[in-house]
This record gives sequence, structure tokens and C-alpha cells, in this order.
Amino acid sequence: MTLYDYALSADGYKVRLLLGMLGIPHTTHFVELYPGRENHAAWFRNISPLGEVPVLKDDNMILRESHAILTYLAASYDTRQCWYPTSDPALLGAITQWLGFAHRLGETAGVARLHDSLFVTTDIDAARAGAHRLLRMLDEHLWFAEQSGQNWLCPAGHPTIADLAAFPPVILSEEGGVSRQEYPAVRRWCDRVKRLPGFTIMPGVFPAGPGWIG
Amino acid sequence: MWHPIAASHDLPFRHVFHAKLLDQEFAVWRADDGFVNIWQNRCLHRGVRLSIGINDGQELKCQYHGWRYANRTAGCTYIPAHPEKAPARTITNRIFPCVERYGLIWSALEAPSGEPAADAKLDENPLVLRGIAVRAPAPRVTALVESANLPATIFVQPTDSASCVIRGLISPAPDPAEHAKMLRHYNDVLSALRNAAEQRA
Repeated sequence: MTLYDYALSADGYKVRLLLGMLGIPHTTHFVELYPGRENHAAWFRNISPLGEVPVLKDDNMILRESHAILTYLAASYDTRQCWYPTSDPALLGAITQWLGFAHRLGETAGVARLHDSLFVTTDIDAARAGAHRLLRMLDEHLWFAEQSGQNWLCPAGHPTIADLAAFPPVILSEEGGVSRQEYPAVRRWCDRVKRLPGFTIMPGVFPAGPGWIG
Repeated sequence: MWHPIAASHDLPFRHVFHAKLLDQEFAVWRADDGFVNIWQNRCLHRGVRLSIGINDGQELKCQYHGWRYANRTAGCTYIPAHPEKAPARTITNRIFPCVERYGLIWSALEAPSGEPAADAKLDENPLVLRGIAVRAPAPRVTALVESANLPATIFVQPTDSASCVIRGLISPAPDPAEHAKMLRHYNDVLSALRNAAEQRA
């Protein structure tokens, strides 16, 4: 298995997190997005027409889009069927719903970060305002989840790929000028994700000490 | 004057809460002995926020170069770059006043006289509502809260000149079977109040 990835990619980080938590052996092929623009080289466009990372190659299958890779890896390699429980339709619906939310976080908080760090052109005020609108909803959702004894995005009693998909754009939001100070339940959830076995860091993400994850 | 800056439930085991009062940022953490520390949110070494630090139960460790500060005193206990030297006693973080009462954490920039919420006649264990962050000045939000005349005790924590947090209590706490419904109800009511305050901004 080969992961085509870039160290600063928040989408790549989603896949790295699940690979780490499931302990799946793989090799990584780094593609320099900035400043090298290696993702626009002909060889990479052959496997990723949009020139985007991450891309997963497993045997002869090539898969693009981080959320597609998460569902494939969890459905194939999670023997406990926790991260993406294919036999639970209601939970799959909730997971897919929150994957959509995670995508929106990437288009707001994620794009604001790329604007500030990799000079991507965007309406930065709109990106930050959109990120705060989503974080406010996320904080409310997680606060009431905590009240009902749930620690994760979906009511499963354990984390799912939805948590791993939403975590990178949230934890990296400050690199795009989006503070999480107003979102205490989001900050507690970030601690819980960081304390999951197999958690890995990336540039800009600090580890948590040992503690309660619920 | 005492202001609420967090709810007790904001300080779970080994967490560091990021608070703000009157433009002053705090790192707030509960040590394993139960003591709540409210410190200036800044490592004395390079100024990194301590709210991203590690609460190990006895000390708070800065993420940047690992300086450690002790529970209660906020004195620096260890500097990794000088492992054989004890840090000077003058290396002590700024501490702010702290009282934990009515399910809330109370603080102030200067030590106030008297007790928090002395006039409110509160039960010791009220139901603590979800804090609602508002991007509107505290005086405007306070006026809206007062005109709403809610059957709840509401405090408005001024975070800075342009924003605040609405913190509410139901005292005495209702029957536990009613809690979930009531928390949701007041969350809706106070969120509507927030939206009204922000639209006028």
C-alpha cells in the first residue's frame, strides 16, 4: 500500500491518522505541493487528475479524495468494525453527514489556513466567517453530545472516521487566523482525539498529555 | 468584581481551558488535587499560550521548550535547557483570583472584596446552562437579557469590548429528569438572544 501525501496537507493528515490508529503497514510517497508544484507533474496527474493529495494505491486500485480513502480503509482493514460500521445504516448515515460537515470545514477553516501559509487566493474574511459559523454549530453539537454521555461526533460510543475527517481542519484552524477560544466543547473533543491510541501529530499539531478520553 | 469565566464542567481531568475576561487571556486548569489555577495565558520564556500546554496533574508544561510551572504557586519548576539548575524563584507566572462556586469558575483582574454573586441568593448546586459566546458588547447583551426577564439567573461575562459570554443558572436545580429538556430549552432561548444582539452589531 502506498500513500501519496504532502506533510502539510490537512486532507493527507486525515488518512495518516486512520492508518496510524489501525496500524496498517504502508509506504509514503511525498509529493511537494509547495513550492515545487510536483502535484502538477504529468506522472502525478496520471493518478490524480486534479493534482490533489492524498492518493492511496492498494494493490492495483487507485483512490483519490480523503473521505473516500477513509471509508475504504475502515471498511477493509478495521476488523472490529468501529470506524465505519458497514452493518449499521443509521450510523453510516450519521457518519456521512458529518463527513459533509468536515468537507465544509475544509472549504472555510482549511482554505483560510492555505491562504495564510501557502498563499492560496481566496476571500479570507468570508472563509474565516464561514469557519466560525461551523465551529459554533460544532461546539453546540459536542456540548449536548457530552451531556448525553457521548464523546464523539456520531452516537456510537466510540470514534468513527467522521471524527478523524473533522479533526484536521479544526486543530489547524489557528494557522488560518481562526481561534477556537469561543468553542470549549470543541477544544475538549480535540483533547479526546489526541488521546486515541495510535494518534500521530503533524506540523502545527501538538500532542496531549495522558488523560481522560471518556 | 467577580465574573464567571468558565463552568466547572469546562475543566475535565487533565484539560487546559482557554478563557478571556476584559481582554485578558487565561489558561485555566484543575490539578489532580482539585485546585483550580487561573494564570496569565503566556509562557514566561517565549510567550507561547499556556492554554495549548500539557496538564500533567501537578504541573503545566509549555509545548514550546518544555518549561514547567507548579500547581498553586505558578512557579517555574524545570527548564529543560538547564537540567542541573533550579529555576530562580522570581520565574513565577501571574496568578488571577479564583473561586469555584455554583458550578462556575469565578475570577477578576484584581482581587475583589466579597463573594461572587453575593446578591443572587443561589442554591449551592444549581443547574448550569451551556455558556453562549456572543459577538456583541456585554452592556448591550445585558440589556437584552434584562428585558427578556427569564426565570433563570444570568451573568454576562465581558470577554473584551466587542464580545461576551452568557452564563446562566437555574437555582435551585430542577428534577434531574427535566435537565436535558431544560438545557436544550435555555440553549435555544439564549441563542435567539445572541442572534438578536449580533444582528444589531
